Amino acid sequence: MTPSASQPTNRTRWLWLLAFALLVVLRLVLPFRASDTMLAHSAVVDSLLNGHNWGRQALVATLEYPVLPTLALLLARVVATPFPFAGGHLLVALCQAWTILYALRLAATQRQRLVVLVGLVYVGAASDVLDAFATADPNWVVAPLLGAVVYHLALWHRGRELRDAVLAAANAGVLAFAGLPGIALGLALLGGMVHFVSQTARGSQEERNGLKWLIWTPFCYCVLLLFLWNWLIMDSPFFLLGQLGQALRGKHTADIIETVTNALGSELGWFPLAAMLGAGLCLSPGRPLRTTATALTVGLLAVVLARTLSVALSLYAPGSGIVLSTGALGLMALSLAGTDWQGHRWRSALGLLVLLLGIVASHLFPGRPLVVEASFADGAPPRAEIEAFADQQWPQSRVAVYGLRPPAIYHDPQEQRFVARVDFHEGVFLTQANDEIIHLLLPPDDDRYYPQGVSPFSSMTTDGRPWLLLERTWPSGWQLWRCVITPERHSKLEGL
Amino acid sequence: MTSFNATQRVSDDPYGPRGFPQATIVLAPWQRVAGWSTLALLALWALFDWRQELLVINAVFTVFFLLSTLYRVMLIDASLRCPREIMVGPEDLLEPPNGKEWPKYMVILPMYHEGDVVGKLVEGLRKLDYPTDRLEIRLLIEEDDQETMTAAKALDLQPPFVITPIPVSYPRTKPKACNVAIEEGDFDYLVIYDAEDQPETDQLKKAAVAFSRCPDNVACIQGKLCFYNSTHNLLTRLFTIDYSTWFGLCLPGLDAYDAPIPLGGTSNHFRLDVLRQVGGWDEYNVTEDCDLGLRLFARGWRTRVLDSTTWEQACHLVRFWIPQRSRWVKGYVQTYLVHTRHLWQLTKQLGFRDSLHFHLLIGGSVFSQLICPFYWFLVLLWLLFRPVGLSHFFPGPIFAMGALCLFVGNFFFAYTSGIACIRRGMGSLAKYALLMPFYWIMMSAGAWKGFLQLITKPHHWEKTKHFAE
Repeated sequence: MTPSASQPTNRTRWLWLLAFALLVVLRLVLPFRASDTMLAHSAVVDSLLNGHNWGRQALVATLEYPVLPTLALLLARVVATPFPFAGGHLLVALCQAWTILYALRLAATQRQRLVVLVGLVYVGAASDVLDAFATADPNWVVAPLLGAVVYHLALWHRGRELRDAVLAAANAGVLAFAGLPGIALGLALLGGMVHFVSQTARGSQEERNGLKWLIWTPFCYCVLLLFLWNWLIMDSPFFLLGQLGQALRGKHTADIIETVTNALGSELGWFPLAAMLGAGLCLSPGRPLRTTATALTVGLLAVVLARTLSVALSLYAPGSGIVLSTGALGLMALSLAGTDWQGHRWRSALGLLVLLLGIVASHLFPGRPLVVEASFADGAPPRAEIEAFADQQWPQSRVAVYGLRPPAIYHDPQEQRFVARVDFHEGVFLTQANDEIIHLLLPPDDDRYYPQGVSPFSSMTTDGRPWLLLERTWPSGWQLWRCVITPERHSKLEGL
Repeated sequence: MTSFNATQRVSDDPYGPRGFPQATIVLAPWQRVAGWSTLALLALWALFDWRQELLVINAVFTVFFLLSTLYRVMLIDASLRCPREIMVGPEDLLEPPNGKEWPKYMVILPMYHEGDVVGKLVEGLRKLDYPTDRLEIRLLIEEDDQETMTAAKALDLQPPFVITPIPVSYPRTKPKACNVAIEEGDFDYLVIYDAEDQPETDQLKKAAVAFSRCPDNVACIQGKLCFYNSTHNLLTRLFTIDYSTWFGLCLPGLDAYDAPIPLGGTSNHFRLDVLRQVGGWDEYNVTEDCDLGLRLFARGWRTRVLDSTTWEQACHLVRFWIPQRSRWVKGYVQTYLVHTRHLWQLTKQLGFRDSLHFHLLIGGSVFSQLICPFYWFLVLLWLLFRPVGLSHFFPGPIFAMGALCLFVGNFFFAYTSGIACIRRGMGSLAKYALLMPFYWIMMSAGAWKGFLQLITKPHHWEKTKHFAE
């Protein structure tokens, strides 16, 4: 075996590193748009750093705010400590620079500098992409992973070096930690790899079996870890699927199908659709990177499906906008880098035309923005107002908040006024109420905080509980209840 | 005729009678003092605050695990990223490297109580594709080993086969026999095989060509080892995976970094003049090959890896496998202690980077095997009972590093074992790589046996049992 021709020399490696550093610095200088997703993940990270149970629960117990962005944010916060910028911004800058670097390296590998130019035009023309780039969202961590998969897949399809297959499989495997869109993307990409092995492996059956194992193992292991961590922290290996299950129970199948089919057009947006179509047109059979592009196209379609399904179930599909934007960018890089301009000029031109039309269409008929995110903090009553209200009768009493989003809004690292838990158990709540005066803050039953109709909180907001007293309702639908089980030390009869 | 005296004492130094540091004793005086002092300090500390002591020890071990894991990642990545194994194709073997005649080759085969396999061995070696007038195959048989001697004589061996009786003297070890075997003879190269080895038939020619392509400072070429009975049972499968990782990823990784390479037990091709110059093997060391590899490196000689496989027999019974493993670990500890007797000198000789390789690979791998069982026990305890007190010993950063090693490091080791199988063309074995944690537990058992034996019987040679097919 000889060293791969694509292996960079030390000098080239330093140049890439320099380019990376410059991109990071440049991105850090540019403005960031705050997001509720960052708010949620930041709260989890704060809680983890303070050693609180809610942080541990929130880390593993939901597919909406998955483990990978949280851990990446945690790491970035630790790294950014001595620097004058926020950890979240550093994370986004690193991820975006890394992703761009992959596109550039892919272009450099294929000796097609044109891709850089078209890529810049693409980023400039597509408002969705610009918007996604401006958003401070820890789910950006998925983008370099996708970049790594595409880059190494492309190299693998060309040179059949085992290292590239390993890195592509490992990076795709880690996508299992990136929520439902990540899982969908990972599955599709790995499926594509396995299909490629089955169809074209030159080696023996022995080698094919080995490669299939190599491709699936990291993904399966990551899924297994998710279940293991849920078992360890939530006492149920499948806890993170609970919300998905509740959401499915709360909707009729026909409604879901209808929503999905209706949403496909608008959710997808015109531009990525056009990009995929254009790439498909450009990548006619026989082109060197067509397998990579096909796998990526299938992957992006899987993300679209996961996204629309999530919307139909009123679940947040984390990072799907980012994946679609960067995936479309990757597709374009691939199609341009792999295009045999000499042989298929008319087809390439048609592909570019479709892309152009897509850009125009995206402005004329804007779909639902790709960067649309879970916006959950709007309408929530101010923390000080809740505290002041509670203090009128029960000074320094605490308020219980459940799930992930409400505790993120009322994040209290010391748990002095707000007690957070991801899972709600009536028995545990009542036990707590025996020890202290406790309030319960319930968000409105509008599908944003818990599945409408099937969650225990739904019935609480409408029917209450015998042991709950509604103390206040805000116009936005938030309710503050107080548990009427009076702890012994707070009994009004105690002094008699 | 060139000669070499394997028993010559050139120094009065009891720790290196043959002019280089040898494993005649386990610990040098300063090492003994340092060891006892450390133990005393630890005992004293435990009396004052055992919880704090355990916390610090745990922190040190966790950092060590993390470094070891990162080091292994680096090695394996290097082996995949820039493989440097010497590839010799069939077209390169048509003519001798110098265009005239093939270099003179000596093959040595140390044997002890191998009467069952000697016939098969000879039959296998007859297939070696090398001009017989340029080859001598020496069967090294202990004079009092009547079983093997009788079996060998019954074969009525003709050249290139020669029976070399090894006089009874102490220590009775394989390296002692090898040293005796190279005392006489004018040869360019030498290779050592074990009694059950089946080298690829063109390996000698490939090695000769490889030597001719290498710079002058390359004194040794290590062939790759693999097992022909890998599918015999689960143990042989896991053993094969282990070997594939070592010879298919770790050694090529070291090769890629131009780092010291601890030689494997067989299929080491040497330049005979250099081998004699460095004093041959240390007859007191039970992994004399590992020691020799490092000694060569320290003296400026280099080892390269050749892409040619010698097929061996994997031990298929745990009761024989554990002693074999214990000998390897004992030998690694011996080697580590011998080479660190003059720590500063070693660092100067190897350089900082290569001495790090030495510490992490030789010392680190044994240390990992010794402390692993405690951590597996802690993991089980945590998973099954979740004791509250345990968290005291795993504060935030330590827990993070420990979790990284547990969830990522262990998977990495198992996964790369599977990759090694695929690379060796044994893809169907890859799935068994996920069972490697059980194998690691056995490795730890062997490591502890070897470590304890180092105290009780430091020079005892746990001979590997070979079975007739």
